[in-house]
Amino acid sequence: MAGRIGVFVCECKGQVTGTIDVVRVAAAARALPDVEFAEQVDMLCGEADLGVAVRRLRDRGCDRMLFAGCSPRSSLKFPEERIARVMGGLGQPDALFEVANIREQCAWQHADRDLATRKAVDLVRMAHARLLTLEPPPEPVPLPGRALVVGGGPAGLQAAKDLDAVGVDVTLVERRPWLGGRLCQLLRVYQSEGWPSVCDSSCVGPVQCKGVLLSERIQAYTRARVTAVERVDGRFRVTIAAAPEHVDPARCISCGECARVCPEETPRLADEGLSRRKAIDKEFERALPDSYSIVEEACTRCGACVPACPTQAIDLERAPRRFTVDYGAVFLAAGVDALDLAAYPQYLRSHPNVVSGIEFEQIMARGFKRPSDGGVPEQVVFVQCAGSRAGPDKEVGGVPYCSKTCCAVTVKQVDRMAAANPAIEATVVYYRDMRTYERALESLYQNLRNVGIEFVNGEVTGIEGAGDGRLALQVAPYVPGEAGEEPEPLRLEADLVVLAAAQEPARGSAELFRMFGAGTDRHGFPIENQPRLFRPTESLVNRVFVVGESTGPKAVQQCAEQGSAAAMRALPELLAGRTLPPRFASRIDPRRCITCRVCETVCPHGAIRITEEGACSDPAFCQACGLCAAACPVHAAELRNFSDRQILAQAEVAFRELPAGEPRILAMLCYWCSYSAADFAGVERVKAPANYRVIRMRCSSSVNTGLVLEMFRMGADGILVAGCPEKSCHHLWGNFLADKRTDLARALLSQLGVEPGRLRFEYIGAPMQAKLMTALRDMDKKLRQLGPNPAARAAGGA
Amino acid sequence: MAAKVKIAMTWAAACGGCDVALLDLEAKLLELTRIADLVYWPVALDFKRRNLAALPDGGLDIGLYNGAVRTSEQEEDALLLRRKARLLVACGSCACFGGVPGLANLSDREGIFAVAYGSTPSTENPEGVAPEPRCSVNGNERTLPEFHDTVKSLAQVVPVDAFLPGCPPPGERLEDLAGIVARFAATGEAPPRGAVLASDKALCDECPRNGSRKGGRVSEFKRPHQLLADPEVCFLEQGLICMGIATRGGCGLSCIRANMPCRGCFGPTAQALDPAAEALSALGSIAGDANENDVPAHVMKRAVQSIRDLAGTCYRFTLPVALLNRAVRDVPAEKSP
Repeated sequence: MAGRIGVFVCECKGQVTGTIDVVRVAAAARALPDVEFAEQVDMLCGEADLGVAVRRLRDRGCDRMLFAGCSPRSSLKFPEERIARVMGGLGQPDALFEVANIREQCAWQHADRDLATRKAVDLVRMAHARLLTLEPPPEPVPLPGRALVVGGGPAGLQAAKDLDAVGVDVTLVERRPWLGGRLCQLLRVYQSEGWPSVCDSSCVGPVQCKGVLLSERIQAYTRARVTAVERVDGRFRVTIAAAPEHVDPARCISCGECARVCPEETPRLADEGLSRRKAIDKEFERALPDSYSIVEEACTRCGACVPACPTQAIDLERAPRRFTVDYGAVFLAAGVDALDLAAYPQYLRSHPNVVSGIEFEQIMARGFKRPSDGGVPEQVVFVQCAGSRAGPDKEVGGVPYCSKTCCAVTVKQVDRMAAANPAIEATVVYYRDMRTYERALESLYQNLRNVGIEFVNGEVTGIEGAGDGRLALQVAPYVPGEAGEEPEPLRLEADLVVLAAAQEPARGSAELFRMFGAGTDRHGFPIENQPRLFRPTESLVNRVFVVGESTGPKAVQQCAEQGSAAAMRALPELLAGRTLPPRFASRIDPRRCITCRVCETVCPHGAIRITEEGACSDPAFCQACGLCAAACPVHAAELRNFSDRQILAQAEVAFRELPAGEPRILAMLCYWCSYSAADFAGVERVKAPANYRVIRMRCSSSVNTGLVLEMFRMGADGILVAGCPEKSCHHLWGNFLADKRTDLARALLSQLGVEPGRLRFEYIGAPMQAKLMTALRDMDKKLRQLGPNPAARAAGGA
Repeated sequence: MAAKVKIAMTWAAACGGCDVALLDLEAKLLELTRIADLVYWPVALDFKRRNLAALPDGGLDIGLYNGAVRTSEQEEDALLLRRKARLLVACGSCACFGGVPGLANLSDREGIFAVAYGSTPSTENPEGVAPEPRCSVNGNERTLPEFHDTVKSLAQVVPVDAFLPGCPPPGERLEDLAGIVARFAATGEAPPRGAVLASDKALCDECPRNGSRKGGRVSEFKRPHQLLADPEVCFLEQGLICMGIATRGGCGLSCIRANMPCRGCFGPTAQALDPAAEALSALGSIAGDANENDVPAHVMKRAVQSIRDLAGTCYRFTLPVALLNRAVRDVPAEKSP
């Protein structure tokens, strides 16, 4: 497996030579096994210099390059991504490289020329040790170029349409009988946060849905759901169950003859049960698909509708449909549901004149009628944060977060009501603040204040029936800045109360996210992949996109944005019909695997699948964190190019040049944050002890306890493990697992009489070089007091 | 038929359970005597050490060393048996890994004597008499074997041909050993050097409860006395530390069937860097609820803190073969004695 290695030691136009004797470094490199040549160059990153270097490698038949110079992670001129491109130009499929970071982490950090040169030689040895055993990345994995969209609301529709536009086949699955989702339940929707106008859903709903239904590449199923998912070889093997198609949509002309003769009634979904529909019916006039459908639970199979249909479209014998298809990418647009406020008796949700915001949309559509008696309401009170922003200051419970869209929806509703029927008195009770953000929404709110709509700052702590369909609301007013004396409760009267209910993940979406392996936060919303800034809509699982309100309450326009954004992110792999697994993808040896499922438990990316032969890591889902490899109790799981053997090979040679008596400090730094922090120390020319050596890990959690003990045995005097800051690990909880495991290892060392301070874990972000340097200096100081690690002495003397 | 195979079994730092396990073979032991002569077995037969010593070097076919090496006498026995036996087998967990006596490595001779001959509640020893290699009784010099600071496994003293783990080795594995004896008698064929008479895989692989593991996290680790374990469900799933994740299988699952989690007597698998580290890597990874991003550090760490006595739990049978095989004193250089 060993190749022919060419070594370049870069002087960086004097920036390295200032502290490091590169001639000595190159000479040491030349003496290493399999090294064809090792030479110093004054610069490598210029295009012309690179051309020369590549020719040199090619002429000497080298398939591997060891570059000693700037940081592969932080160099702005010659980062590892650029080196990879250069190596690609070598014309050898398996050309591999390794970098000895002798600039940021050596020349720029150490003042003593001899110690810095010694460290540089060690860094070259460490890089060389890795290079000897480096293996090429796994093969590309073919993927189906087909996508699945779960949820037919604005986000799902947009994703489907955008994929269709570039020729991708799409299956769209919607749980309800119509497409368009919540959009179709809102009478009018505000166009954007920036533009003060609205659209009517009876117009935009069908326009958006038509595009999907008319496409030959999109198969849309309403009253359908995902029942099973297998993640196999990078693809999603999805089983979809759809309700029986008793009414043939190709024949149905939506004339309504069937509904006229149908004797059975059931609550209408589209208006949240405010009215009833027939067992065979259409949810609303403008609904698409333009076909009647049967509510299975309500139909008695009396058969009356069959002869009534003028087009013979009805067949009551049709069976449910179930099919399994492989997809290359999945878009989860499961939406939100309103928090069930029946659980909070203070809101008297059972009273007919206490309605939710979405029910009020339907009331608006029907000309503002009170549900209790059909009369026109006189006093409507809108209650904000009903079940949102629950906390110690709030009397009524619910979810702790802001549901974001309610304030805007409320001002839109009040505006509409005031325009349609100025005689109705409107009062808005808001909790602490109105959150009508951006240009259009804030101006709408200010307009309402200007025309005299009453806004009361306080919490509705109770609603009581006051007879004759009337209601009395108890409000605890909030007077900012006045602590101490409780203000008197207010009493408001109303004959219609609109609760702006909190939004939570749609019912059933927890199971959906679970089936696809997409981790969720404590509120049930899917967690986006790190770095979230630049990977919106990506769940923790490759090619599972989370869009629309399923990632949190959103305006319609934002849902559409997410649908488009996700489609774009999915396209490269869908169009290529393949994915490239990471260079460091993990693998599990079935001969060792004992199916203890520890790997599955810790994998944040859904890459582990349990098979008859044991656990299997799917390279096309693997994100190369190594959490499985470090947690595996039998070393069946291994990270390619980050095996224990390779890491120990680095540790073995890490201190060859360090003068005797100097404490040996190994810093196991995570690939992203902590390794960068070590670079940043150099960039800022901070002086560090020259007796530490960095091993770049994939994640702090790819350091297993055995490695730590073995490194102590090999003679390390101190080991620092560092990972990303809290809540910022690229692998969700890798840093926390490493922290916990470090605690266990420290406790074990302590029982064995080893000073636990020899092992340390820190959360260190890229800019936190000061924290890293403090930790290293502390360790250096402590280790000088302690003297050599007795574990090495004891093991050596045994 | 060729001459009978000559077998010897010693008794070193061990409880005697291995001898009993051998006796428990009952009729099979008698069958074994058709092809083998038991020439030395202190617990069962009246041969003396000098009988063993009298054999020519290599004159014994199979030597079974039972127990860890903690005294000078046991070390001499190990050397003697190695010299005499063509095939030396470490018999039982103590010989293989140091076993329970190996936990003495958490202390040292001085510490052990201080407790055993001093501080235990039942000890009455005002003169502070403790064992010494040499002493004089009524003018006669008496000797005792020297008590080492560090307990060792057999392989740390002499090269070992085969390992038979178990505390004690279960009947099935002893029958494997009998098979080796028979093969050796018939053909002279020995197992590959360093063979372990156990599964190459960890115990989970053959555990009947394996299917009940759901792959969830463990909120709190408990000790076996703290709950009545469900007899069907994976112990880890119930929050009980089970060393079956990091211990060779082949033991016959007698603990698991008795509703006790594996304690690790079959020792680490071949891949293990260290017998405890592998279990700690796994336990530390699944400890705690999957809510680390939402809770403060002290809550996040509650589950790992519920794992008590890591060395005693994870090195119960294996401390002498651990990476750091005994407790050390890590004190600042100037304070070092």
